[in-house]
Amino acid sequence: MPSDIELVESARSGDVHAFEQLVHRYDTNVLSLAARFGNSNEDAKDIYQEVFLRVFRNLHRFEGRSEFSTWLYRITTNVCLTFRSQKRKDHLATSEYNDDDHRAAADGGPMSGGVLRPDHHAESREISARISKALERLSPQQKLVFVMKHYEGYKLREIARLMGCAEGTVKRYMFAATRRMRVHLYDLKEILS
Amino acid sequence: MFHELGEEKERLLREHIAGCEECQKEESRLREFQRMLSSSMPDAVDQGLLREAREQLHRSLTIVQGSGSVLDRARDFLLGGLRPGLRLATIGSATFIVGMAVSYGIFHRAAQNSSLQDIQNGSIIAAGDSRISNVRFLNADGSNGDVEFTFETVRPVRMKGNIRDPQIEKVLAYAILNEDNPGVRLQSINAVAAQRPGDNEVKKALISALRIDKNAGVRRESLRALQNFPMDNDIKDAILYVLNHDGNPGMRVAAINLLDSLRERSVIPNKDLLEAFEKTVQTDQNNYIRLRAKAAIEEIRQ
Repeated sequence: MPSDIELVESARSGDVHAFEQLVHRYDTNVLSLAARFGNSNEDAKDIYQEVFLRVFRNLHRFEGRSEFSTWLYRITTNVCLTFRSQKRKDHLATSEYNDDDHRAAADGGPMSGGVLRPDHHAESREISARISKALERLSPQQKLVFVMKHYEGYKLREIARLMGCAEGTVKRYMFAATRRMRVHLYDLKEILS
Repeated sequence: MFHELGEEKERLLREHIAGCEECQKEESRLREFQRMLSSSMPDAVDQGLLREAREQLHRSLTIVQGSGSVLDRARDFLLGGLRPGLRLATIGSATFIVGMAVSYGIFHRAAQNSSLQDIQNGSIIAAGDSRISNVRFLNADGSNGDVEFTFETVRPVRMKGNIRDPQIEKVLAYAILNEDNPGVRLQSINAVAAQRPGDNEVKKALISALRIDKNAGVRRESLRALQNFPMDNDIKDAILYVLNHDGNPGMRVAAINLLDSLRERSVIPNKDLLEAFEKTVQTDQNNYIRLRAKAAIEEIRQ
């Protein structure tokens, strides 16, 4: 089986098949992060496309000083951050960082009266929906760090390396994200108890 | 701290928490929060979504590669022999010339197109085999009996010839990869499978269809058609890919059957087969396929 570097070399000389082999080695992880970071399957596919097209166009810049996978995931995090900031522009003013939401969540929110006593799956779906909504209220950096840490299992220092920033910065994002998420999901503990 | 601290720091933190009521409460709240997140852990990546993403990427790459190679060739041709100092000047001049040419092309063509359409309108409609779409009125008044509009025509092209004709092979390879209708993709594959085509482009199209087409029937027929080609590394890799990655158990069974027959004919090195079969034994969720792979491994080792 050819190594990543061998496939990169072939892809550089225009062998799309070699590039696709390379893609298939790592694209499940890329799509997984894209799906958890984006708001829909369409978002996930858009991020996936952008990542691999950017990789394909920039293969000549890959110098092999890091693993190919590290370089790829670094591009993935960049695309995620750019993607979100582009898409969020339109409704930033109306839905982001809305203090009313914080207050509603802190006051108990619409689900706080112990009304929900459905079966486990419906309950789990409800929780997932609430978590997704809460994630949407984070800044792109906070969301990316939170998703990579809690859903993709990266360590903070790995996230810092991939995002190209200091570990302290990632810790700050993580801390802020966790605090916001806890505020938004405050009332969910009643469902879980 | 979610397993982020080293052993020593974690021990110190534990000691502190053991003696601090406030931190105990915070730890308990964090654990509860963690439990809530775990209870709604998203599912693994959907295979259908992955397939769609790959298919879309394949199409984009085909386009990017096509345009890239032309540009690259032009760049190499223009700049290949120049010293670095002269390159900037050449690029500047070339940009200016291209800009002038494009502007001329746009304005000149706009004028030319309208006159061409004026002339051809009669014959296009008279031919009767064109599809007219995107009609746009420039003058819809009609009170004095005159109207003016533009429209687009798509005219079917009929081709007849031998399957080995490079033009026909090119069109069929395109259809295998890009036709929306799976029935047409299947017909194209069957057409090339009926004869042993000589074109590499057809082989590449079949391999791509085998790997990424969302229709299992199309993938199955691609696998069958590829058996008409002499075995090489690309085809071998594609079959091994199907065995280890295709979401459809029927496809994986077809792949293992084919690999088994190729093993008997010693077409594929045993080392590659062993690697793929061992992966299948470890990861495939289908009992039958795992058993087949296990049996094949034993036969190879005998």
